[in-house]
Amino acid sequence: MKTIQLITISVLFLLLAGNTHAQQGTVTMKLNYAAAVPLGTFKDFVGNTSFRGAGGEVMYHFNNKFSLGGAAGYQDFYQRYDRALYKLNDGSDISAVVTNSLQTTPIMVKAQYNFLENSAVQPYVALGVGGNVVRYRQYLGEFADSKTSFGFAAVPEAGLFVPFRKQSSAGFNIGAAYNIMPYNYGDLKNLNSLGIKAGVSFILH
Amino acid sequence: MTEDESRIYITNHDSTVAFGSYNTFSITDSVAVVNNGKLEDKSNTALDQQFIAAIKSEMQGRGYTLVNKDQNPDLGISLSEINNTYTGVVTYPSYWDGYGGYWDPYYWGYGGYPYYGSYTGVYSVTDVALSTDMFDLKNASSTGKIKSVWSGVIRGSGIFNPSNVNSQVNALFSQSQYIQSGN
Repeated sequence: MKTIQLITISVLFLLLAGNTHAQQGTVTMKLNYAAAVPLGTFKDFVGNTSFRGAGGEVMYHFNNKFSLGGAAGYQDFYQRYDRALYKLNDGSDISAVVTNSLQTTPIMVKAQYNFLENSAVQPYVALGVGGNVVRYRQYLGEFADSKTSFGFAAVPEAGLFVPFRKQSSAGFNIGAAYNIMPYNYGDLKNLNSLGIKAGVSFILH
Repeated sequence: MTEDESRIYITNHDSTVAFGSYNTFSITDSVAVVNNGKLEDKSNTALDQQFIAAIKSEMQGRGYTLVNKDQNPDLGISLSEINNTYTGVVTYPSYWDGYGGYWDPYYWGYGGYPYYGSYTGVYSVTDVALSTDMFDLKNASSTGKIKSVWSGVIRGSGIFNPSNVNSQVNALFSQSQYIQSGN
């Protein structure tokens, strides 16, 4: 949580410090591809990196440094394990092919700050905070335990934005994100993952 | 997912029991067919005989001697096919509740004795399963009860495919290495 606080404070500080209005009032839409590497207890549930993810956001640009808007994402995690013997809480032994499947759909408010706003490559930091629809399924053989729930999501992100032309809000971006998603079910304590994103943004308005 | 991958094998046992204290066993001559918690039939098809033969073979491989049920076996083993066709969830304890009705204690020569213990309790059933239960008959007279010492359940697709019988029964015993005679 310290990371979130630090980024929030940094973003607010930079917003107040921003004094350029070249892109004031622009609204952009960004679509991005996303991969994610599970971390912590989530890694024990699904060790595989997810290459099935996407995201989208609509941002209002107060100036060509700071923008604020809404973001939504989707990431699909899946892993099937070879048959193995598991010990259940009641002392029984169960031999099963275990398949773990989990999808996260964060829907967040997002703020972004771009550095070097006049340069051809602009580093940025961003923070999304909001809710998260989680679909959990664990199959023992063909028998599923499933649960859909709603949780919290915070996604600090840093990356590079490359405008199509100078001072444009449209362009390419690549970034890395730390997906912070508290969750508590079964052996899972959270659904944290390291995200990699690549996308394109274009001007809506 | 293949049929083989779809199947799960659940076993449990009374951890206080020393399986080496038993030497002989007997097994039911048919399979109880339990539909929605009620005994429908005792079935004795070629497939049922295949299951029975597979369990006999596994038990003999662990050093137990097969005897007739009237020869005071130390262990009694029964087989039940559980079908739940209605929507909803039935748990193994509720399967177990009717147990005396599926396999009357009289079958083992202990008429009127209650069964007790049950170790595969957690799984909900809405489909078909094969359950096998092992009882302590050796101490039934002294305790006045027939105690369940082991149970195994097979669930999933292809359970009643004859070519899967031996590997399925073997799976139950493979994960129950503690079943070993003192012989």
